Amino acid sequence: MMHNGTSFDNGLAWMFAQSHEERLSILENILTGCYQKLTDGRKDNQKHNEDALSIAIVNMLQMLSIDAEHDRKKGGHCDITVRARENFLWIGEAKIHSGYSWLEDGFAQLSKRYGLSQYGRDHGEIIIYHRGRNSGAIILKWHDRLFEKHEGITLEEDCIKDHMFFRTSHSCRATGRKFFIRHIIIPMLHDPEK
Amino acid sequence: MNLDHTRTILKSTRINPDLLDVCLDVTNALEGLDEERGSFLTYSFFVNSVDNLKPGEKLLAALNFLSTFEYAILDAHAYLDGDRGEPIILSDKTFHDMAKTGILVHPDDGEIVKDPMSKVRLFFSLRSEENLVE
Repeated sequence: MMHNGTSFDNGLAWMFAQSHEERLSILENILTGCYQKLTDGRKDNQKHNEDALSIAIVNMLQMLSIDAEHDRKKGGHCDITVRARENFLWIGEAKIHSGYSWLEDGFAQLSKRYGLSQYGRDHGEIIIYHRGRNSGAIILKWHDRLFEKHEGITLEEDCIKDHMFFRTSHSCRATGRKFFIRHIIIPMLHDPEK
Repeated sequence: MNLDHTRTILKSTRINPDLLDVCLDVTNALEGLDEERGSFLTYSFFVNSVDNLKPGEKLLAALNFLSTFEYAILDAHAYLDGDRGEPIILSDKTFHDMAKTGILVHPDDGEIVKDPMSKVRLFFSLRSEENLVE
């Protein structure tokens, strides 16, 4: 019935989460699985635009009865939001990588939109869909740029080498609480060598 | 419990239409339940109470959604089938630990329960009115 890592398990874990910390942990675990599916299906999703990729993630979350939605905004930013009981809210800014200015915008969006960090509403994600080579170098370069250009950001977790993500925090201007952002890249290069 | 607000909220979500239908049917089945009756709602209760329910996973998915979304109206719990068929309610922590480890210590006699997965059942309770989000 559970603890075997199946989607049934994940659904039950979500149902029985006892705290926001646990909800976040379960959600990030599930998202990692979703991202892996995009990587594994990269041959078939090469022509998918950002909306389609983000909708695919939302659909996977919804299949686990997670209240996830996709919002398409101007400028090609695609948001994924997850809401849950006890006022839980998580948001992801997602884009197919084509340069670093979007990443700057995405970071600014998450920083400003969630200028009001509150308990259960203090985590977000920058999701980089990457169809080029060497995704590891891209996320590392983003990491370096972020810290070069922005003050007041703290590196909370560096998992670039093994898991292609890092986590930052900054102080919310309105509440003084920390807001955490996981920056993650999803390798989607399909370039079969014959 | 007045569930009109819940129905309105559900209809405004963007969940799968099939799931939405089951969520609405479950919500209808909860209408008018008093606190006592609403404190122990088994899976069988929902199977018998929801009209036109087709076999499949949608009922569990709907119960999951109604227990976890922003305007949740249910709390999820679990019980252990007792030796005489009586339900032995598990604390949320006990069930939670069991879900993580696969090990269940019998709440009454302290013994490790063999094959707990086959003996634990879900049940639900209505969230109290003061905890409902408007």
